[in-house]
Amino acid sequence: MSLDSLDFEGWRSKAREYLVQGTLPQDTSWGSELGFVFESAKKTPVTAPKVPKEFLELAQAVSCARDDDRWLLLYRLLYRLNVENPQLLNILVDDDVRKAQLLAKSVRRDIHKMHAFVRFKKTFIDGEEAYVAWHKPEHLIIKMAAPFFARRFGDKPWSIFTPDGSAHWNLEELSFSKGMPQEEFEHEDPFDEVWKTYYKSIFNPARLKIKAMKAEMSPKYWSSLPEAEIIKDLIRDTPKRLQDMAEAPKYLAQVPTSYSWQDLKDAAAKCSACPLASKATQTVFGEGSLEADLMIVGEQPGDEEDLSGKAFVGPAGKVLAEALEKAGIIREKVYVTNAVKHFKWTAGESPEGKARIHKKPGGTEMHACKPWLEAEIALVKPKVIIALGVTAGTALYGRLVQVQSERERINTKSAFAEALTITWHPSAILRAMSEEEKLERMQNLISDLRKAFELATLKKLNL
Amino acid sequence: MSLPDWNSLKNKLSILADAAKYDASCSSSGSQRKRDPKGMGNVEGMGICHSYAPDGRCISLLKILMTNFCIFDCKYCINRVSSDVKRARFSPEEVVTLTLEFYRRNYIEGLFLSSGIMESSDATMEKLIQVAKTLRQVHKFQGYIHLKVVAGSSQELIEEAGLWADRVSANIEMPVQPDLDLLAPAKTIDSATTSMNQIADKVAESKEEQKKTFKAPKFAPAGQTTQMIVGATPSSDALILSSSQSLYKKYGLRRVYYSAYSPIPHADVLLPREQPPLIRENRLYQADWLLRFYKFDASEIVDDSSPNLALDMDPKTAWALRNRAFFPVDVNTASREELLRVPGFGVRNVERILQMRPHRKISLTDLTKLNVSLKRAKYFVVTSDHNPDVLLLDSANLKSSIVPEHTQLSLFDLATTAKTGEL
Ligand code: SF4
Repeated sequence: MSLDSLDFEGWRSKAREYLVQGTLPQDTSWGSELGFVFESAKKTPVTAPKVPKEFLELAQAVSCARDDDRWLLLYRLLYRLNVENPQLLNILVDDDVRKAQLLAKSVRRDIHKMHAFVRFKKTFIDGEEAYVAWHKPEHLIIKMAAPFFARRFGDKPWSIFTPDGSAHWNLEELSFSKGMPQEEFEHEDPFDEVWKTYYKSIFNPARLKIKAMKAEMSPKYWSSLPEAEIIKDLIRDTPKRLQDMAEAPKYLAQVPTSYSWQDLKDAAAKCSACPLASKATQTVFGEGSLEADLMIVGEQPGDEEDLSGKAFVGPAGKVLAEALEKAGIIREKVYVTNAVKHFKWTAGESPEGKARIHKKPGGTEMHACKPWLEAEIALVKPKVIIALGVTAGTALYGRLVQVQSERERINTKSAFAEALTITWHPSAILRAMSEEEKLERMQNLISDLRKAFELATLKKLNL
Repeated sequence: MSLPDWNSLKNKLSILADAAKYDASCSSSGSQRKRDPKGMGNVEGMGICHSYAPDGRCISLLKILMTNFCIFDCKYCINRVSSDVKRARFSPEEVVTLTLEFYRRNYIEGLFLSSGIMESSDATMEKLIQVAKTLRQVHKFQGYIHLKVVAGSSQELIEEAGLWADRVSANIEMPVQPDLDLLAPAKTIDSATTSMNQIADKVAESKEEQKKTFKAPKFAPAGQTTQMIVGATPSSDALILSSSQSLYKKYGLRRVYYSAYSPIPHADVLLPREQPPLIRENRLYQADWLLRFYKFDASEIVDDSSPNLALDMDPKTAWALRNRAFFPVDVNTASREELLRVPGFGVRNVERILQMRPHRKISLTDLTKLNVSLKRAKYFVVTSDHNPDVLLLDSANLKSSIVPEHTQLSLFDLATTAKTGEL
């Protein structure tokens, strides 16, 4: 029996004829050679056939199914609805009802998949932009599926070819013509490459689930999906990508859990959690009053600090000392430390090649070293922390901070202290472009330090 | 439109789609838009998944970041300022072009645009809005647009975003503030929920206006959703679900997406190296489904005595085992609410049972034909015929009959229920 021998309208008029004559389902014939009807004895003519709306909807979907028995099944349902039980469609476990529901479901799903998986290729016909696609649905759905594309892409002409029939939109109406085998569809679109790039990048190898993918995007549709070409490669590369990710070096300082300041300092002295330790002379730990209400956090030790093992003793340290003095703060009353505890440098290009040029610590080192800073904060419990410069600020604020615009603001949302604030790093003063700028920043530093100190020594922070 | 340089665009796309893949939200449903006669695109309610990645997740939108530069240092995020990844930035025009070209070829339902934070939250949010506005106004594009609220954006900008987008959403990221303090010190639950509140107010207001006059502009007609990252901190499922429940109640969210923390390249050391079991994410979706469609209260699903969802069975079965006095439920007389509490009965099955009941007594075989999972359901129901298994309801080893100790968890089942959550 040919699948194309009948369409839904053809079936309807034939079914009505049979029904009026009261023909039993087993006596009907739905092939192309229609016409021969048994003269059965048990005929119950249905003079006014009833066709409930739900049945019509169901039947329309079933009529698209690629199933040789669908016309007979539909007639049997219609006959039973009229002769046996008008409520038949509500008996969802009835074999005929169930079969029809399953076919309809499969058809509706196929239509949905067609809406999803048609991939248009841009082309030019007589100089005019147009879109063409080839798609292979499972059922005979082109007529039911095409209007969707006209509603969505109605502003350009397009054609969709399938093996069983083709749909065309000319900006005014939909028309249908015969099908086309895939070999005859020859359009290419370089833009498919951009789509594949997207497909590749949006895939997360940490969650590979091939079966789930295939359940939703059945390989029966793959031949016209550009992205399907790279699925194999993506799957094949997954284990390696995961391994690379797992093996990527991760650094974190191991901080002892019960400690005094001395224990911490001793443990930090032996820290080699990140690569900085191997090039630096020694760990430079923070120091100052363990009762301090104010903690000052710098970036990292420099050349002189690295050699002496003491924080803020180099040129920047001198600037800080001067600022503290002018702010009227006795250094021993506060706690001074750095966000990163080892000196990071590269060899300079001087003839002797001896100069060690300071390099800004990266995010990796900042994170690796942070447990030391956190341990110091937990031990000293300062009320106020002032960060010197962007690196310290980023470590404490959890975001990039702009010293210029944020230095006078007090951040009260921090989990580290009741108040967090930021000011210039002393080396930003040393590097200032002009005398004027230098002076201004120095004054900023002094007043910011003073404010932070006053805030910290207030009996009760009232923010 | 002049043709852009596809190669440079491809490079940026590979960086900025890669960076966007950790956001779990992908749905494009819940909105209606008719095509503008002069433009293209529409939204017909039900979202369409246009492709599936090998991770089984649906691709329905062009999901990208405007840029992966970010001034924030959230540890679970690959784009944090201190990560050493390659950076890129799209211009608004490039995003517009990509969206139109993708859409026109039927690759996508629309755009999901998010961004790292550039100079400031507002400056970044303005760029996102510019993209949506250009698509709508210049190109008469009526496809789906989802804009992510950049953390800390001002109210005016959120309101403007909602005029152009189908959905505007703010990510909560973590269930409680201490989790954020640990991993995203610059973010607060407060600021996320403030954004949600502003969106919710505006959605409600625009619905009222719509009632009065059809011409009133629609504000984010598809409502809002949020995402929570799971497994990056030790927070319990009880904490997560009660937080979701209050988000649903307070801000009328359509959905909370749970994203199992996924190991990222250049991950921060504070994060677990191993992915938390994906099954936990799946159980959360199932539990969330119970909250939204089965009228469960979070405290019925998890509480202080068992703060985490069982991994070896779904939350509804777990609830049934703890509440055997509620059963057996008579399939032929029970209310919809009661039926919904039977393990293995999904929303659709319950509808089918109710549809059949006036016409037929329902038997065990009927349940099989309706595709009910009898393996789970049979101990909890009474049917028109004899059901011997219901006698086991109070037996001590009921649990092991339902969940044999050595059943392999089928990842396939997981993936399908992870999508719907239906049990
Ligand atoms: S920089 Fe910090 S983490 Fe790295 S080795 Fe030194 S003390 Fe340890």
